[in-house]
Order: sequence, then C-alpha cells, then structure tokens
Amino acid sequence: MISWEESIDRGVTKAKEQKKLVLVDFFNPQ
Amino acid sequence: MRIAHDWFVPVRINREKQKDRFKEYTITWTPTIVILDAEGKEHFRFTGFLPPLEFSAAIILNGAKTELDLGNYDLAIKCCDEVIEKYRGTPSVPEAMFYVSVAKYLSTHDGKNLRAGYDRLTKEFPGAEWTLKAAPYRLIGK
Repeated sequence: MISWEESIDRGVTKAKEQKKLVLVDFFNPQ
Repeated sequence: MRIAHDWFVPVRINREKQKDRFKEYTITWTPTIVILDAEGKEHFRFTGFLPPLEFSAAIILNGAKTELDLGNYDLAIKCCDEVIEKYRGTPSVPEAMFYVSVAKYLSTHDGKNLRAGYDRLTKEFPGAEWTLKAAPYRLIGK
C-alpha cells in the first residue's frame, strides 16, 4: 500500500532525508 | 506503483483542497505528474492518463532523466535499460534508447555511444521522433 503525502514541502523533506526523488500527482477528484 | 515507493516520495495534490499549489506549479490539466529532486526543483512533468504499464514506464523514464540531470549517469543508464527491456512496446522505449546513449556519452565522453544509440533507434524505430532527434549522431564515426 502506497502512503501518499499531501504536502509537497513534507515530500521534499522526506526525499532529502531518504535520498529519493519526489513524484507529485496533481489530480482533480471530480 | 511499487516503483514510486522505492525511488520516489509520492505526493498527491487534490485540486479541491490545494488550489494554490496548482497555481504555483501552473497546472492547467489533470492528471499531471511532476518530478522534483530532493531540493524541490522540478525536472520533468507529463499530463494525461496512461494504462498501468505505460504509466510505470513513463515514471521510470522521467526518473532516469532526472538522475541524468543530477549527474547520476550509472543510475540513469540502469533505469533507461529497464524501460527498454521490461517495458518493450510502450511509447517510452524510443526516448529511453535516446537517453541511454546520452547518459553513456556523458559518462564516458565517447561519441560512439551516441552513434550506437542512433543506429539502434534507426533499426528499431525508423521515422520515430527520437530517431529524428538522434539523426545528427549519424555523422559520428563507428
């Protein structure tokens, strides 16, 4: 199960800590 | 989406909840996938729905291109090769062939890698966009 972050800033912080890239999915729920 | 978890920190931005982020990143259509490095700098994006196999190939390819930008040539080569070998038949393959030759050239400064990429594209994808983009490399000796 993928755990999605809901904040780009938090994603970037985690990416820095874990030496990863950030994949941002901009979506429209409608 | 296992790939996303191994290599990327996955983030979802809901248009209804974070309109400011849509404006900040100039997102005019969804879904749009944006790849950032660990400093938050954008490298690549693509828009529109893709079936799972094609989506995975596009994610790996764009991750590989980001690693290329960051100077991680060996990882870029490995990931482009993965797209070429495991995602054969998807639209990402010709671009992966282009970029694997670029990554090999940047890693070795040997122009033969670019020529080999052109030869491979010409053989497997004659007339494709990425074959045309590689056409100048035909002038490099084998």
